[in-house]
Amino acid sequence: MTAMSRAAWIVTALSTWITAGAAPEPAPTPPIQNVTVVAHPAPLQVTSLQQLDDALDGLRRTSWQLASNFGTLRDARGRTPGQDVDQWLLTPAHLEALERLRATAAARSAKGDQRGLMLALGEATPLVAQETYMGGALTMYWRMWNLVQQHGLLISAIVGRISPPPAVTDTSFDMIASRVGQDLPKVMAAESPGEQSTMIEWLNNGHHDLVHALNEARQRYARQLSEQQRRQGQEAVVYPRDTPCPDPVPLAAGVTTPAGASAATPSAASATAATATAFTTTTRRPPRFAENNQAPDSFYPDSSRRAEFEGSVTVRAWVSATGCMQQAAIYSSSGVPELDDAAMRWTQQARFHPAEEDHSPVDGTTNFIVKFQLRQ
Amino acid sequence: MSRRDADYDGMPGHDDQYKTFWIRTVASGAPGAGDPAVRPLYEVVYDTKSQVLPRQMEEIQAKLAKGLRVTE
Repeated sequence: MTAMSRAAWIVTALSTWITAGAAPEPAPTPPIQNVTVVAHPAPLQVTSLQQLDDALDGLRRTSWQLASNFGTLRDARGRTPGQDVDQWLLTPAHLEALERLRATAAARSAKGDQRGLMLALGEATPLVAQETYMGGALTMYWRMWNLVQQHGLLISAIVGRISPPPAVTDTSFDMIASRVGQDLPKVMAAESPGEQSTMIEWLNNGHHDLVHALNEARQRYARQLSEQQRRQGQEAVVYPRDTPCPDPVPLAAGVTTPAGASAATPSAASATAATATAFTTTTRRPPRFAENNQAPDSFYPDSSRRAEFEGSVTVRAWVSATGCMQQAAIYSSSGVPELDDAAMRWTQQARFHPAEEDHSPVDGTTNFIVKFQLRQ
Repeated sequence: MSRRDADYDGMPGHDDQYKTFWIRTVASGAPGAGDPAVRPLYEVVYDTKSQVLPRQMEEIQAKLAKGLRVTE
């Protein structure tokens, strides 16, 4: 093998080690990769030897990226990215065919046989296109499982704090995960550009469905944990205002609710808030958002976007009679600490109209939901 | 083991540019004179600048495990 002949062998004596007693370290969480996936594969035409070399180089790189970036993952089939790479990408037969065509193209190019060169490159084009498609599809597939692992770790941490721990089952997640895994061979077998586009779309939908199911499950458990903590009388951490109060917002008719943040609908949350602040008269209005508040979207942490964490945070805010938010607390967590922090940062800069009693401004408390959502 | 190194994870490694690939593993020697549980370990490194694929490196790794003899 060429690789062997070029190899450098080094055997270095190290200090004496005792083999027993080394505690295994937990496997590191694979990093979330920024992977750009082409939703609809572009038609590919190899027209020069350099282009063929670059394409082969890119395919080898994809194989390595999949095998090393997502190396320790397992999917619903119990398979690893390495196994899929070995089965689908640059298989020995495909690699041999591509290397043969590359050698033919190089020989013809050296002889100045332009027509022969183009014929060999034309023959290589569909093979390269198929490999490129499969590499992209596998990258999408394993990136999805990487996200599943990230979400799963967070869900496990939340569930571990609920007493008694609920049985973690999610039928919709299991069904989607099993379907996507079982149908991967169909995705890999697609050959025509039309079929490939359909399969990529299908894979994208599976990805969104899985992540959606995980976000829903995490939010459900986080809400359950927040409720349990309130029942047990655990005080939420209260964050005092961290900047000077803004000028009072004039009381004007009409309330604008910023996109993504909404006053809590009548629910257990808002009912509790009303009880806590002793809203006893029918003429009392809780604090409301002022107009022109910034959308919470600009507070969405990049790492949460990359991990596709979505969620709703219910915030309780204490607003003075001058409309100044004095302090706030997480009433119900999203289950993602970063999103909870972002909701709190948004609240710190939000503008409010004060509560009113008999048309006069008074101190008041309000609960509202700050929602972080990547897609509608 | 007194030292654990992230590169000793049994996985073939590579540089950021995917130009150089390597395997780092350990081979144990004969038991020491004192405690039979104590064996000298040797670091075995294989590296290449060939355009290899992950499965080709795994094949090399398997050969490495089979073919290496510590004679000392």
